[in-house]
Amino acid sequence: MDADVAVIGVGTMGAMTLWQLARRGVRAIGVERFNPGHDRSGAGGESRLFRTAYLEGSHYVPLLRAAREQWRELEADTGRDLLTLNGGLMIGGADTRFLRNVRASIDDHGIAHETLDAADMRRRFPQHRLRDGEVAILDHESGFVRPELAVTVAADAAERHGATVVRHQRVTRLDPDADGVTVVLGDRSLRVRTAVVAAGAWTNTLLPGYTPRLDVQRLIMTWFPARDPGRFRTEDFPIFIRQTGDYDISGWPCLDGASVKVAINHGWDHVADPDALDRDVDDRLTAHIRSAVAELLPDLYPEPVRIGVYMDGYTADKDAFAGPVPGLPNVIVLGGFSGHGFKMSPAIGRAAADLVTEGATGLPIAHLDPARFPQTLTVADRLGL
Amino acid sequence: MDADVAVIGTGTMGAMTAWRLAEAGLSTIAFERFGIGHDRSAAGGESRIFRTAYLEGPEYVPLLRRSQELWRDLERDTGQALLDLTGALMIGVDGSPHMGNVLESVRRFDLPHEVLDRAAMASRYPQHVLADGEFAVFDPNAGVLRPEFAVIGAARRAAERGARLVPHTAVQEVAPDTDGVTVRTPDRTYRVRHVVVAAGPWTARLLPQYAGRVDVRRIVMTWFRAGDPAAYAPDRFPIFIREDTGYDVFGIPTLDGGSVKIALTDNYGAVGEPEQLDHDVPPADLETVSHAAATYLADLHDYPHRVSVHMDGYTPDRHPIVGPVPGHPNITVLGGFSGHGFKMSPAIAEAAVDLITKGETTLPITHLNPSRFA
Repeated sequence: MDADVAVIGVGTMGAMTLWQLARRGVRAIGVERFNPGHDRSGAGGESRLFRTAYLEGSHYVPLLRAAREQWRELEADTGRDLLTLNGGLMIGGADTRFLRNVRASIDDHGIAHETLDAADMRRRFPQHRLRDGEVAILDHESGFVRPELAVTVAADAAERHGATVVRHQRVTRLDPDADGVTVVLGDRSLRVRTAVVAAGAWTNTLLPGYTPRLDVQRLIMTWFPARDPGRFRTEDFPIFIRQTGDYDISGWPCLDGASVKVAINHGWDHVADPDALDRDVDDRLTAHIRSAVAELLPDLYPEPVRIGVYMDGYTADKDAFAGPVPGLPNVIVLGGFSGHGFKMSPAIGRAAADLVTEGATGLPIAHLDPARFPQTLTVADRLGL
Repeated sequence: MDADVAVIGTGTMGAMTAWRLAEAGLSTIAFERFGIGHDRSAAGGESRIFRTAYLEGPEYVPLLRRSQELWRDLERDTGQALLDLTGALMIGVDGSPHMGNVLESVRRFDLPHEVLDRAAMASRYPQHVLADGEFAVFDPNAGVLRPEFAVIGAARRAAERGARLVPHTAVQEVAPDTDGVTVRTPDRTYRVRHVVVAAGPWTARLLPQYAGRVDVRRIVMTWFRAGDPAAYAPDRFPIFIREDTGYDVFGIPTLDGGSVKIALTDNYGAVGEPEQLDHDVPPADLETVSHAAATYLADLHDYPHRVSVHMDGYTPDRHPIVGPVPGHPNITVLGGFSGHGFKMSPAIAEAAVDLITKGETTLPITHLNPSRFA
């Protein structure tokens, strides 16, 4: 055996899994096709949301609180600030599914929060221009994480705890059997007991037909210069999610002294081949986010000065799949995070480490079980076509 | 007439020119094919270098000194901080052309400076790992410019002073005649007395005589994570350029609390059509800058976590093209800035306005005269 575990992909989920395995003494090898911290897939772009009152569903809250603990442990282990809880404003129509879900999270789990009407918003957060009938909920357990820093320091810490990271190496195939897994790296291979596939947009390529077919979408982040950056400081401007009319956007405080990231919450367009992610964004494509900023955030100049292109794999129900792969012994998959995985990554990594070492986890990830998807494999799926 | 002057391209040079024209009281219309402040061409990427002891040649020093004054004027007019004087370290070996130009700039214009040998560098700037024979010149009149704010601020200020901005509109043709110039866009035509072409990589599209004279090249900026961000903060890590020992590199301190921009000055190849600028940089193309960062600097992550792609027009002699187009006195071209134009853009704009209004300028731009390529 070359190691107990191979982690395929040392990006968001892979770096966290490798760190969690290594710090509990498991011999682990991470294989990354680029280099940990690269900007060619899901992670990057300076900041990611950390939210607890979860519009995707109240059942996520225990996992998110576990993730917060794990972020603090990673900070303690690396000496770097990764998670800033500066609050999160959820802004929308008072009686919408969006805010009902946020309230359900709060009611079910007792999340510290404030409800703000239009007058409160004008007084406390005048950076936001509300439409008639809109209100906000300020979730005090929200904020943002630092993605590049998080991935690189987790990978570094994993190596410090004894893990190996193989860089610039593509995994071409996995051959699992009853005793372990052979991980094929071009002209050589690794033999391990368990493989954790954290390959993001490349998941289907490595597990053809064994996991739901992901719709890989471009995630495009856009930064807008502030007329007065002093109005958008971390302490004055919480992260936000806003659903207003056709607009479904997120925003972060100003972290670079000049610009404010405001991004559309869903994928922009389909990526046919993750090896050929198109990093160009046509001027016409940004019209929607420009008009959102012009109307809703009048203290920003409504022209993007920085554009970052990333991608993620989306499942049909927008819930990830994390757990043993049905039909493949000794393979665990962490995939399909559907644009909202980063915040929970250290808890997902811990759950994966639990599955490897204990065969089960106490972390609440039952709703992410890969077995929930019907097996609808085609010949083309099995052949990876 | 729709205006006294049409500015084609409201990027770095165009925004500054519109600002200076409007301040001079000329009616101005400024076209931009994208939005004002966009990152699809030369400007952008959070920071640009300002420096005065000039490795490209001492003849630039008066333009740079005047630019420093005008940057402060633009800060006052817009209420935004644009230039942070962190100082600069120009690093190289004795006798190299670059360091010769830096030292000649210092000597000819009596610029404040310090010469730091390898031991002095090791004690004051241990972030830099110098090789045998390398030394540095510290230039206090240098620092970090904020490109997005500068372009947007200048354009906004121009608009406040009466200029008309026409974004998201690509000019298709400028047709000069004896009385003025016709400017054609997809929607209509405009008549103006004078045109300033500040179209960056699109210069030859509007002025075909510069096709083949201005080579459009990719500029790739790369950011590396610092192990200890405080060591790379603006108060401890001046901007730098280092060119004589294998890699041509510049660097800018961390502005976001964690990332240090370390980039190659010119190593990413030609761009065909500017609309087709490839924003992707494959990992193999990042190896050189990763080696450079690892070799020259201490305690940086070994791979860039942020990459941004820009482009500029490069001339054969790497000097810009600034002045009236030969044979067309009512067209002024500002182009071919060869990757070192941003810092001097306000003085270039002032010179262009002088030429338009007075037919001459006291700023020393004869080495930038377009007729050298006629």
